[in-house]
This record gives sequence, C-alpha cells and structure tokens, in this order.
Amino acid sequence: MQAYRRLKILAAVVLCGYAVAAVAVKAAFRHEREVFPLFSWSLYSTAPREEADYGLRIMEVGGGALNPPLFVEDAKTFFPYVKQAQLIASVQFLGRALDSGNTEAVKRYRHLLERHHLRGRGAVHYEIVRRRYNTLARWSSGEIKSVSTVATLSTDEAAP
Amino acid sequence: MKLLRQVRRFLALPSKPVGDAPFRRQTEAWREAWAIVRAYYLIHLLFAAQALSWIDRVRGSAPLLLWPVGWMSLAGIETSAIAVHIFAIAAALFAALWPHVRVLRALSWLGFFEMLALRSSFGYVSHGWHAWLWVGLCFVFLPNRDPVEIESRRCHRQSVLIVVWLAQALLLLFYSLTGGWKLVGAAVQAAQGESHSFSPDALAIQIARSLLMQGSTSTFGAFFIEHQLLGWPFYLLAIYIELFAFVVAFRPAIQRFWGICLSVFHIFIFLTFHLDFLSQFVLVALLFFRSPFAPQHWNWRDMLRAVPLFGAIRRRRGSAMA
Repeated sequence: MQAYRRLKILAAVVLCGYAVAAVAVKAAFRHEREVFPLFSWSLYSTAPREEADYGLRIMEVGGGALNPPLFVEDAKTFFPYVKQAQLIASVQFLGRALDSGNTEAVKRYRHLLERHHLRGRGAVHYEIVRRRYNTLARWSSGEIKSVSTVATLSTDEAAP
Repeated sequence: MKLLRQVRRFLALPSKPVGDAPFRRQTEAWREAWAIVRAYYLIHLLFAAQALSWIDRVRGSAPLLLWPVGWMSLAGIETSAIAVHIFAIAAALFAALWPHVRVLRALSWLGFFEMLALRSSFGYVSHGWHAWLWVGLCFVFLPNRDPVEIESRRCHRQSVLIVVWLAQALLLLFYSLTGGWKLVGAAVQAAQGESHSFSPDALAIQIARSLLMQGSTSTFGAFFIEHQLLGWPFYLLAIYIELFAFVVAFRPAIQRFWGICLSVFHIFIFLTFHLDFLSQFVLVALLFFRSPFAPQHWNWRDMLRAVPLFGAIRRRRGSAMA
C-alpha cells in the first residue's frame, strides 16, 4: 500500500478515535473533563443563572486578619502570580473531596493548594465554603445568596 | 476506503474539475503546505523558549504529577523540570532547523508533551495548548524525506498534503466538539426549564462567570453583560461557527473565510472573557489563512454554496427554481 493511502486511514482513525475518546472522557470523568492529553472540549457548555460551587475564603494572611474576609478570586494583591483557573479548579476538587470524606484526595489537593497556590505570604488561615449565587447579581453587586463553611484550614508556612 | 470516500462525499460539495493542470496545482499546494510546516516549527521554538519561565513556578512547589511526568518524583522535580525544559528547547531548535527529519519532529513533540504535562500537574490541565500539541503529533507523520525529494514525487507531495489536512481537520474537530457540547448542555438545561446557551442572557452569564473566576475585568465584558440583547446574536453566531467547523475541512472554498471567523472569535473572547488562547489563535491563522486546499482566488458564489446549513438551503432553492 502507498504511504499516502496508509496516511488516509491514519487520518480517519485519529479523527474518529479522538471524537469517541472526547465523548468517553466527558461521560466517565464529569468534573475533570480531561485525561491528559485527551480533552472533551466541553467549554462553557452550560449557562446557569444560579451557580453552586466551592469557594476559598481567606481569613488571615501572614498573621494579619482580613476584615472582611476575601474570596481568593478577589485577593489577587496577595497572590498576584497565581493562575486563577488552576487555583479555582483545585478549590473545586478540594471542596468535593471534603464533602465526600475522601481523606486521600483532601490531603493531595490541600497539599497542592497550600504548597503551590497559597505560598510565599506566610501562614494563611482560610475556609473552604459552599456558595450559591446568581452569576449576574454577583457580578454587578457582589451578592452571594448563601455561604456555608465546609472546613476551616491553615497553611503551616512561616512568615516571609 | 470506500466508507471514507462516502463520508468525505457526504460532508463535501459535489467537486468541480480542478482545471487542466491538476498536478501543477498539487505541486503549488504542497509548497504552501510545507511553508505551514516550517512556520509551525519556528513558532514552536518561540513557544518552547517562552515556556522556560514555567520552571520558576515549579521551584519549591508540590505538583500532583500527571502520568507522563510521574518519573520526576524519582529524579527530583526541580532538576527534572530544568532537564525537560532544556531538552524541549534544544529539540525545538533542531526541528526548526531541519523540519524534514522525522526523529527531530518527534523529539520536539516529546519535549513539549513533557513540558505541558508538568505545567498541567497543578490541579488543572492547560488545555489552551492541547491543539498545538496534537497538531505537532500529526506533523510527526510527515514524510521523513528531504524537501527536494518530496517535490520530485507525487506520492510524497500527497502524503504532506494529507498530514496537513489531518492537522486542519483535527483542529476544526476540537471547535465542533465545543459547539456540540454547548448544544447538548442547552438541550439538558432547556429540558429542566433552566437558562441555556441559546437564552438571550447566555453570553452575559458566561462573561460574568469567566470574569468572576479570574477576579478581573475585560475591555468589552461589562458592556455585553449590561446589553444582553446586543451580545445574543454574536453568541449564536459563535456557536454556529464552532459547531460546523469540522465540515469546513471538507469545503476548501470557505477555509480561509472560516479561519478569519475563528480568529475574530478568539479576539472577541479575549476582549470579553479575558481568556487568551494564543497558541490556538496562531494555529488557526497558520493552517487556514494560507490553506493549501483553498482556491487561489476568492469566489463569493462558491463560498456561499459551501457555507454549512445556509449553503444547503441556497443550493436546494437553486435546484428547485431550475
């Protein structure tokens, strides 16, 4: 068989294989959406007016209390180099692990969060919370309908 | 092969004769395809060099290593990260110099794959680079021959064209998957009586979600949140462009036009969502602005016929009137 004929078959296999794998990844790993390097390409697939997620609320940084406490998305001045998408994803994983009582996953995601995202500012006292809000209302006025604490945690980093 | 031909015919339009010099057109097309490959590896070198800054983020950190970089826990993460980055940039340099050598293309892909796996080991896979990585994997299958030798034989030229077409089709498939999931998500949400991707406020909700998550603002984000009805047609158009992207792989007449649409789409996303898909933006420009399969001159009538969905309506009307 000519090389270009083999390539035609390869092209069909790659395209069909990726499409099937993308659907399988989405079906099997609802939250993760990806098994590196396969990605379901499910981006902004839903547009819910009411959002329910986990948030990381910072109470204290380097010994200084924050009044009022800040959600980590609004605390960029403390952690300017943090990749927000990575941080928010880690918070969701940690929240789900805490809720399901998966201590191994809690340990892993807490370690990642504290040793990677929240480092460099001394001890950080924070809460993982469950939030419910209307996306547009929160954007315009900061209103969050309900917040309930899932866990209160602290990093063990010494002050810089 | 018969099945493949049938699928291609279903997605493509009835083809016109290429003209009196089909082989000359193939030679021209392969040259354009090869120019794309060369440009890809030059830009790849730039991206690999830029990625050196990722090393700093690894220092003193505790990543959750993904499977391709699992070996780093044995060798020491910081040392391994430096080694991987040096390997990746050296391989990218050699591939940029000699893109016709398959082993160099494969090594440059491997280096980038490792680098990306490390970067994605912080709780979130960096999918902005996925398309670049997969196109690189496609290019590994280009013929392992000197360009002079490729140009001299029709079957080698055809192999280059098939691989470049595969890269285009795969990139377009990614967009179609994104559009398809929006359709599925909308169906599920509509069935539950919730707002969905086709609701007038969908774009506003998506922009607000993105900006809230990043804790940032964007140039036109606030405008489209406050003027929801103005943004609605843009969002519907964006879903249409994404959903039918894959069909464009089979319709050369609109490949450049779709490339422009996708570029504008990425610029719009940056100006509203404040999300930058730089590598994907570059890929779209690279693979479609000078697509080797696109006709050399814009023909508006052929383009209108080829537009997915609307072109079919137009064709059906035309045949009914005849």
